[in-house]
Amino acid sequence: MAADLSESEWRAVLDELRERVAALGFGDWDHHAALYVEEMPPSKAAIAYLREFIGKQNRATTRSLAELKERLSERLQGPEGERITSVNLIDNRFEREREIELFGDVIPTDAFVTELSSILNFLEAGDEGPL
Amino acid sequence: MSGTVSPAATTARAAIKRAFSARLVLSSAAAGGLIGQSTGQDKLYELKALLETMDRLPGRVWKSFHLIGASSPRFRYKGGKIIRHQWPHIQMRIAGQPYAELWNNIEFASLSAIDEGRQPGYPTYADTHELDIIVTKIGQPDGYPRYDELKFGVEVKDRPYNKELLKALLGVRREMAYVFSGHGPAGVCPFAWWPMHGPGAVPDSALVAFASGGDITKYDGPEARFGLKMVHLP
Repeated sequence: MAADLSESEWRAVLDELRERVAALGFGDWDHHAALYVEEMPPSKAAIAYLREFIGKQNRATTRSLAELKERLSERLQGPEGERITSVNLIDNRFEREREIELFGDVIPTDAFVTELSSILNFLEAGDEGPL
Repeated sequence: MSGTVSPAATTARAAIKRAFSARLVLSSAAAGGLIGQSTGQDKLYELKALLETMDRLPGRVWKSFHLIGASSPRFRYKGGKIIRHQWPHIQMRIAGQPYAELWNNIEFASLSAIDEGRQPGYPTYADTHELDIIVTKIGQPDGYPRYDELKFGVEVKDRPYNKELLKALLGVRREMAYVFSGHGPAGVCPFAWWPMHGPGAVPDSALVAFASGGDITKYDGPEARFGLKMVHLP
């Protein structure tokens, strides 16, 4: 049974989530997620939005990153047949280039996913658990 | 609405603030600064789609992939031309023989620009469009590949899917090829891993969309007509 919130409170929860997601730098993701949930009732919209965002964050946990790195090294060979274990991202905007190494610079999301999952559990089942 | 807020709403909003504030502190301190964690995560999803594409391209038994031009793949924030001495690519080999090239974050010269005799300038405005991954012949020269030099394209969205994304996809596909309308059978894209039943395209390219949102398959109506494939990649 979902948490005991009024319709306006569910809308406020969705608004809170959207503001926080955008402030974290995921504004474009928010735009598309909002299109996805905009015709749902407020409670379903808030829960679906959060579930989708957890799904995105789940793809950057320590385990997901390790699996991706392993898959890369298995599928792609280097110029001399060596295993590839890194990937670079070049920010080539504004007539300059800045470079980061993705596996080193993307911060694993394990703790974030745990916290978001507790919130989802509360919203879906009313279970305060670790909240 | 009354002025009172339920304990459940207070609990939920406080927990949301707490979780996101902690993550924001970590993200702000991260290397890369303005590139941002969100872009990094999106590019990791592009890598996942690249690996999925490599797995699915035909030639399962004798197929191998070799990085050419660097010791690590490089993604660009903003797409651009092929510049062979600057950007690496992946060479697909069949039974050890070079067969095709995979390039990422490349803008191609559109059908409308080429057919009307325009060479893309800079900025390119409507004369080029970016694809996250393209497949070309071996030795594809520097510059914006022409639409009729694309053998296969891939668009990647780590997003819940919606009609806006479909419209953009259809627009890019329109600039890649004509729908076949002549006599006799149209060619079938040799890189498509699915049976193509539609009218075919000229040239015989195909376009795949990978999305993390499971709803993408609900938007597969135009697949056969336009040589598209909509794939849910969790």
